Amino acid sequence: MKIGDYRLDEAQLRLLRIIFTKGAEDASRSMSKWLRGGVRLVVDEVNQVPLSDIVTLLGEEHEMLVACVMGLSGRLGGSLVLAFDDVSGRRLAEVLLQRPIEFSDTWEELEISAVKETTNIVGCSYLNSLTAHLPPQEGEGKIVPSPPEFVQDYTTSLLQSLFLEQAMLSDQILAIRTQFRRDQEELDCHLMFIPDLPSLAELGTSLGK
Amino acid sequence: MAITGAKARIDYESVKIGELAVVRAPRVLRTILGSCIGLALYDGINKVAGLAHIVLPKSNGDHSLPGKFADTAVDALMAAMVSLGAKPRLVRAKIAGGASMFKTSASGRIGTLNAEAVREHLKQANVPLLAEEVGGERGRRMSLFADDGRVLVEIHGTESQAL
Repeated sequence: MKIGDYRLDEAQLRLLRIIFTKGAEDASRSMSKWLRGGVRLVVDEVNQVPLSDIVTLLGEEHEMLVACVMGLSGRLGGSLVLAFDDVSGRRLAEVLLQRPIEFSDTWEELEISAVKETTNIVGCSYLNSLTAHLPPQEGEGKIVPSPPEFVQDYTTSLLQSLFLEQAMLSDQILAIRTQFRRDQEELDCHLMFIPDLPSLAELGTSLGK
Repeated sequence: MAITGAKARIDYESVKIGELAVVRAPRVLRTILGSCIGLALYDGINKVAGLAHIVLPKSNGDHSLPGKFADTAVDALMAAMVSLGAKPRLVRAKIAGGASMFKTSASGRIGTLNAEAVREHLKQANVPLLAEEVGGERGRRMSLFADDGRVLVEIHGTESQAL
């Protein structure tokens, strides 16, 4: 395979943004119900960026990142990642558990469980919407997520491992990032869809490449 | 006047994913690793250090980012060091990284393959591998000090380890 074979053009990226915006709207409704408050997910990045710049997608390279990762199979493979800085993650857990949380280096099992369940809810809603809005295809059309995995590590370490499959093909990676906004509060929290190699090809074909 | 208790500020030169860099003493190179391998080369006589952030084992003919692949990084890093005055026969290697960060991703196997490929290419280039800190499930911050060739490997929440 040649580098850049699956480079999407401007029109395809625009179509992807429309599809993922619909996914974000549906996920916003599920999230608002789950958190009993107004939560909006806004697609803020649908782009192909240089591999060496992936860390800029979620912060500073030496910062710690907390993430819940779901592996994807079915029509689209890859990963769906709910990523947040430590403070925003704890705030999310506080809201869900309805009690203040003491900050420490480690996360308690109950806090981890709360953010994992959030990932399940927002992720499944997002994926269902994507399935509904992607161009139809023959055969199995569903996207099936694995149970979320909780990880806490350097931002760069997490991102390079998540984008590894795309790095095999190209020095440019496709990043689809969604920002969370809860009422008046800024949550430094992102949902990222990271397609694997066959899914990049599938997206290119579906969108007319 | 000396200020006791204050730490000297160290200016690290960051090596991004898939890239490589070479420096002379007293500078310090740093990179952050997950499944990737950090390859540190050092000529202790001429005080020249090089660090590559290797992502994948094989380039398959792609030479756009020589630091990205194990089969191109060793030669490219060595050539860059020679341009700063290093002698290949004096160069020694240390490696870190190759973690399996997620159960759900392909990165685990790649980390192992990356480490194997780097060892093999170092052997082919006759560069002795002095130390390694690879595998596991956690990311690492790797720093290479060009004044003495020491490599510090940090895993968040644990004591840093000197190679």
